[in-house]
Amino acid sequence: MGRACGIRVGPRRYEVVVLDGSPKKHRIVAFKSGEFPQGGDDPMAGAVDELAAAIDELKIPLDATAIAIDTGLAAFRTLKLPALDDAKIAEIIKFEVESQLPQWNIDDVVVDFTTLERSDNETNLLVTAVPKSSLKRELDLCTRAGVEPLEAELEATAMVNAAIAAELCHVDEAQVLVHIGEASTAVVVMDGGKVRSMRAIHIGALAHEPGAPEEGAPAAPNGEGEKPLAPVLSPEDLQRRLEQAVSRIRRELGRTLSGARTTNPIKAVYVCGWELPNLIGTEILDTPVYELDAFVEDSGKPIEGAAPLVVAYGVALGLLGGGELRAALRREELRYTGAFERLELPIAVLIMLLVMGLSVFNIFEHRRLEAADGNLYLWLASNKNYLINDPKQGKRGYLEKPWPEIQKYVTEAALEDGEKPEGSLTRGVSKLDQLLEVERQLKVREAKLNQELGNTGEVTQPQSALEALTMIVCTIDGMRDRLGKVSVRKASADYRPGRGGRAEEVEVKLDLTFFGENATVAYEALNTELRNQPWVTSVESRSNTELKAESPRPGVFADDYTIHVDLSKIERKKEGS
Amino acid sequence: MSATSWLASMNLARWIMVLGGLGSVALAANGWRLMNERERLEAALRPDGLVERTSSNIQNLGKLCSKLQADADREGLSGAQAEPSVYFRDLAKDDKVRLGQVDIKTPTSQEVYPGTRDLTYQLQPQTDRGAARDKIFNYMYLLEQRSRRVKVTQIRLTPEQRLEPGDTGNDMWKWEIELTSRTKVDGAPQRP
Repeated sequence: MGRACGIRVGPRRYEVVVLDGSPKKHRIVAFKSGEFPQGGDDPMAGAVDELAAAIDELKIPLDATAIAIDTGLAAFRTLKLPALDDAKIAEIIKFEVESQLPQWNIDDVVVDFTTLERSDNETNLLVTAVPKSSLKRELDLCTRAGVEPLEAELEATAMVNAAIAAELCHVDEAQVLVHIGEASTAVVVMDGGKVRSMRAIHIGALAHEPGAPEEGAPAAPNGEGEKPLAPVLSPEDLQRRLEQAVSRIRRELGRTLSGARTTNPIKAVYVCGWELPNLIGTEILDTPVYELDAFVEDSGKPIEGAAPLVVAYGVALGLLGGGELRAALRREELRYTGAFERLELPIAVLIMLLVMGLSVFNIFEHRRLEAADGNLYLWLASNKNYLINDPKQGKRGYLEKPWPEIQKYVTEAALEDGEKPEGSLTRGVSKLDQLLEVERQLKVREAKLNQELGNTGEVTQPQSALEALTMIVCTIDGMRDRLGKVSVRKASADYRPGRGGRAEEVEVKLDLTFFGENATVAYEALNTELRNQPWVTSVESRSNTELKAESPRPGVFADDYTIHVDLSKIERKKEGS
Repeated sequence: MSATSWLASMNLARWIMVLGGLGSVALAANGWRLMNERERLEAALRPDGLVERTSSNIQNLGKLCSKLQADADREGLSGAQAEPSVYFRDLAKDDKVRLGQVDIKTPTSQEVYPGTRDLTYQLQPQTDRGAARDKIFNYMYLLEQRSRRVKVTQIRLTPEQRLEPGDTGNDMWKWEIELTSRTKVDGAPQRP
């Protein structure tokens, strides 16, 4: 059981039929006939709105809708090919029929075919060709109205399917099926339940109206381009033209009847579509003309005006699988679309498998992550034992005086997830991040302590008077071979901050005594040696004085011997070198 | 195509494709995140990986912090309860010093350079007797060696006995020293 919708899109009118059921047993659950608005700035937009409203009103199944277009848009040719299967015919049909369609570029038309007869040696085909532009115009109308037709066919083939389903085409007789459209009339000769021939008469139900296309002229664009200015006709003239149109249709049908080469006698002409006077209930060349009533009792058909719905009904029936003709004017266009729809289910199954596979992958990864996380717990516990240990049990860790934040964090990090207290900072944080956080807190503490202790180098401490005094004393000691005995009687050293462009320094003052015969030379040697030192900025050497004669040893002395030292000029070895 | 017509065109297979597709993207993203996290963790747990190095560093930092804290406590030069006199007096009692009681004058503070403050302490022995030269220099050495924030900035050494030029005394000295601790003033710019 399924639902299918058929839409006939004509130049002026449309019919929609929704079927529910199977090819054998079905009901019309919704139908509508309507007319596209004419005139206005954008007739196409008006047609779209009208069709969209009908689609919305009938709630048609959007995924099971097909359309039938005006038969007058198509050209029909018969073609004989060697015995081939349909797939092969579909591949070569365009090349075979190209020479018979000189009026069109073969790339600009859609070619479809129906097998009329098939023997062991050859296949007799009825080929239909429709310009792609004409087909696209009708498809665009439907697409803009909100429905993407699964397939498109001609009014003629839909009518055939409806007639066959209604069992009007018996195997022992022939019939002529007629669909009267707005601008053209589709004529199909059936013989023994098979299509014998198909043609379009370019006279329709509206041929009598001003501006309607003349016989043999191409169909007017639907709602596009400029329409010729139509003369205003009186009702009498309209009636006369209508009678002329009916007369011409009857004449063309007569030609069809007389020219038909059927195996079985033609028993009747069945007419559907627009209802014209002086047609149904009459005879043409002694052949009775009946209404093509494709509907059975209790099928849900309208009480009146069922004839225009036959084509839309045939389209919907074809979608349900009824009828015999399988027209496919969207054959080329939907080649890939159809392939996708066939692949829908396998793709869905693949996606379900993908979802299942990814779910398993997620579970697997989650468990592996938990296992790795569990290994990290051991490291956190080890760090806690090392840093804090268990003071309540009298066990101290290596971190002396742990501050409250680190003690709390390290202790809580070493707890299992379920044991962590509410509001713990370690909750919701991965164990690796907890480990890194412990390290970060310790680094912050180390930096703070280093700053407090002046280990950061941010603040330069004043130069050391001790170091300056030591450097000078060491220099004197290093020269003891040249200086002889030297006595220091007083020493002072003062740090002087840098001011007024002068670098900071240490001023060292010494009261010195040089003993020996060459004391003056030694004094000068010390002066020279000190001045040669890069860290000595100046030496204030006052004149030395000889020791008194009563002194036990000869020598000279110098009081307030002043040396200015800049310790920043000392080349120091780097730590660790 | 409107939302209504789109919904109407959906069948079970299409719903599975749409929802399964979205679910697949979410699961793939989560799985990718879990896998990356697990790989990061496993790499960190390898020998000499991030975990081992971090733990080793934590233990070293723990020891270092303990040492620095002990230094800071010993110096008593910082914090609300700063009491450096304990540091100075303790060193004066060191085995290699033994200088006896030390007088420490009330420290003076001055801003020698912008952004820094120099706290100056003057130390001298309580007695008039001289001390051995090596003990005085050991004392000054320890004062600087055990704290990086203290420098001896002034030294006055005069012999215990009055000496004339040419005299060599008993190498006992009266001493007076000045210690300076320079600290950063919070929020002040640094001296270039």
